[in-house]
Formats: sequence, structure tokens, C-alpha cells
Amino acid sequence: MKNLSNASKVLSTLVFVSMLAALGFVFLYAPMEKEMGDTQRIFYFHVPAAISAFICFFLVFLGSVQYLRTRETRWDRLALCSAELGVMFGLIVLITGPLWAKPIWGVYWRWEPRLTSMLITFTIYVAYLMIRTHGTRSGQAPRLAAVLGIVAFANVPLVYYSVDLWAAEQQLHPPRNVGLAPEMRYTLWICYAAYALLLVQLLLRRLDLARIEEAVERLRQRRDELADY
Amino acid sequence: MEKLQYLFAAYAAIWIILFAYIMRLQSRTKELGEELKRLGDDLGGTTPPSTDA
Amino acid sequence: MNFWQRTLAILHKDLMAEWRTKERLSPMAFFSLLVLLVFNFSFELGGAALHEIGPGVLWSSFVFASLLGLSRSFADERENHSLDALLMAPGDRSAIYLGKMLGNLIFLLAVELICLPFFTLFFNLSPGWFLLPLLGVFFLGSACLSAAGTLFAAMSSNMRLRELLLPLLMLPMILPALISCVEATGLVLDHEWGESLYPHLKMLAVYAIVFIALSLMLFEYAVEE
Repeated sequence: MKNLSNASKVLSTLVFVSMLAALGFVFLYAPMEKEMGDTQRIFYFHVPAAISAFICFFLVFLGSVQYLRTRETRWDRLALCSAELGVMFGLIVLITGPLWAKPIWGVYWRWEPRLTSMLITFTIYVAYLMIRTHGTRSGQAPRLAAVLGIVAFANVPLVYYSVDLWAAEQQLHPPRNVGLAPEMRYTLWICYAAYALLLVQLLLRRLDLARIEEAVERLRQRRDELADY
Repeated sequence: MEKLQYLFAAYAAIWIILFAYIMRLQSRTKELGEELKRLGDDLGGTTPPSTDA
Repeated sequence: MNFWQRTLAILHKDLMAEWRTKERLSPMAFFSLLVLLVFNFSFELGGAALHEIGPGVLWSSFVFASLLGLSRSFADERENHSLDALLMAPGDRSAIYLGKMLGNLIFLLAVELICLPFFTLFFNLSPGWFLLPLLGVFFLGSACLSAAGTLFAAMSSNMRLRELLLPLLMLPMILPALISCVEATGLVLDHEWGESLYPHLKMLAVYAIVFIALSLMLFEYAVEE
């Protein structure tokens, strides 16, 4: 137990330090972008948030598949916690995106491919969470959620492909391999690392909470059963 | 410069979202931890069954 | 009974039941027409706007009608508890999915064919050779809606608040198909088929195949007791 608690403290410190470092790199080290000026600096936190969201959605898929194969609660727990985190990171992307867009493109929202696809994907996982909380009686909840988790992730590439077809001409995001100055690239990597640590930290915390929730639920049931005598 | 206000707003939004989530996690963990203890006492001091890995 | 025999047996049962009672098709078709009317009065339709909005209005009404039909898809089995009997019969359970999916597809196509004349009437389209490719788009689009919808209907039939949750489950998931359906329909009505149409049809075909494959694998888990 002591080791776990120490490890957890180390992780928290790492997250704190890396986030601070990331901020430092973003504001003090990264050069000013010539076209967009300082507002471009949101890029360094916007992009890793999107990647983090997708890592989380993949974890939902992984947890769902493993749950159906093994029926072990821990996989279902992983799916639920990852979905929540994924929605949170998705929210960050959807809020920072328009705040970046407004000074640059003049409008908060355009139905352009990347933003639209992110919005649809976000909606799918919000629906996943909503179904989990409101939809099911306890016994079957994990199984149905697992099916949903698998289908949702399979749908993501379809979303991106169909939205691309629909609005290709509206593409406002730069294409993937646009040349980044080396300092910018280093800054981005620092931010990726910071987000990765943050993701691990938040996921572990959320998993803990999930375990406690399950234990509480179990005890409540036991108490209710005893009360029925 | 007005443009910087958007940059600030974006970073502020990230911070607010992250901290709101973290605080929600913490308060729920604390709340449920207390309930767990109470339930444990109610059930006659039985220790909660160990959760699976 | 092999897989295909089971599939056809279930399809046959659903079609026969519907033929006798017509309890799903009529409300679905009428609802679809009503949605067309609602959209007509919600948007000032006429002239150029029509052209832009027409396909979207059409597919919106089909999607809403399909929600109606899908929620009934497993309702009969649930009410009579015959789903349990079906599940207990030996053999591949995903045949149930495929049979139901084909049934839903046929109902949806029927609704679309009923609505089409009204649509051409309200939107003042001159009938022409666009009909054939249009039917192709209808078929592919309906296959997508049925493929995904049947799985979700099976899942939601097991849940609380099932009528409420089926739309929540289904609507976000079918957006990729909806986007391509509307685009493809627009292109066909503009008499532009060929290169620009092909990617959308491909998209719809991929979507349908992916969802059918996934559902065949996952249906078992969706209806377990």
C-alpha cells in the first residue's frame, strides 16, 4: 500500500511539473507563428487534447472487447472511465477550437471536416455515457455498454471519412505534415508528454473512484437484502 | 491586443474544465469513502469485500 | 436448420405478421408524410431553397420513420416473450439479427417508395431517369439505417426507457450514413451521377457492410439474458 501511495505522489508531482514545463515551452520558448501571431499558441494544447480524446476512445473499445471476452469487471470499469475522460478531452477540443478560430477565421464555428467530425464523435460518446447512466438495469449494463463501446469506435473512421466527403472544400485545418519549425516541434512533444501523464493520472484516479462506487453499491445491496428479513 | 484575449480564454477554459473535473473526482471519492465506512459500520463492522483487480 | 434457413424463416414471419395486421407499415408511411409536411411549413420552401433542402428533408423523414418502425421491431417478441423461445432454439443467433434486419429494410424501402411520389409532387420534380439511381441510393441508405438500427433496437428492447433511448443511440451513429445519403440524393436529383456520386455510394456500402458484420458478431451479446 505504501508503495502505491508513493508512486501516486510521484505521478502527481510529475504531472504538475510537466504541465508547468509545457506552459513554459508554449509561452516562452516557442517562436511566434508568422501568420497567426500569438493566438497560434493554443495549438500546443488543442492538438494533444484531441489525441488524448482518441486514446481514451480506443481504451473504451479495448475495455469493451476485453469485457465481452472475459466478463471481468475491471475491463468494463476501464471502458466507463475512459469514456468519461474522452468526453472531457473532447470538450476541451471543441471549446479551444472555436476560441482559436474566431480571431483567425473570423467566426467561431464553420462546418469544416475536423471540427464537425470531432463534434459527431463527441456526441456518440456522450450518448454512450448517457445510456450507461440512465438506460440499463444493473445486471446487463456492462454487456450492453460493451457492445455500444465497440460499435462507437468502429464508427469513428466512418464519421471522419463521410464528413471529409461532405465538406472537403471547407477544410480550414492545415494538412497533417505542414512544416513546423523545430522549436515548435519540441514544444508540441513536451505538450504531448504532459497530456499523456495527465491522462494516466486522471484515469487512475477515476478508476479508483469507480472501484469505490462498485464497493458501495455492493454493500448497499447487501444491506438491503439483510433489511428484507 | 484583442487577439490575446481569445488565447487567454482558451487556456482559461482548459484550466477550468480540468480543475472542475479533478475537484468533482476528489469530492465524490471523499463522499463515497465516507459512505463506504458508514455502510461497513452498519453491516456490523464487516470489512468491505476486496474489489477485484 | 442452417443459418440462411433461419434468417429467411424469421424474415418470412415478420413479413407475414405485417401483411396481416399492417400495424407498422401504415403508421410509418403516414408519419413520414407528416414529417414532410412539418418540414414544408417549418422552412419557406420554394425555388432554390428547395433544391438545397429537398434531399435533407426527405432523408430526415425517412430516419424518423425508421425510428418508429425499429422500436416496434422487437416489441412483439418482447411482449409475447417469444424472443426467449427464439433464443433457446439451437443454431446461430445472428440469424435472428439478419432476418430482422432484412425485414426492417423491406419496410423502410416500402415507406420510401410510398413517399417518393408525394415528394416529387411537393417539390415539383419532373420524373425522369433519375429514378433508377435514386432507388439505388434509397436501397443503400436504407440498408445502412436497418443494419445499425436493428442492432440498436435489439439493445434498447432490453433497457429501461427504451423508446426514449433508441433515438439517442441511433441518431449519432447514423450520421455518417445520413450525410452520404443526403449528398448522393442531391447529386442524383441534379442529374450528376458518375464520378461525384461514386464516393458517396462507396461510403454507404462500406457503412452497411461494417455495421452488418459488427452486428452479426455482437448481436449474441446484445440480446443475452
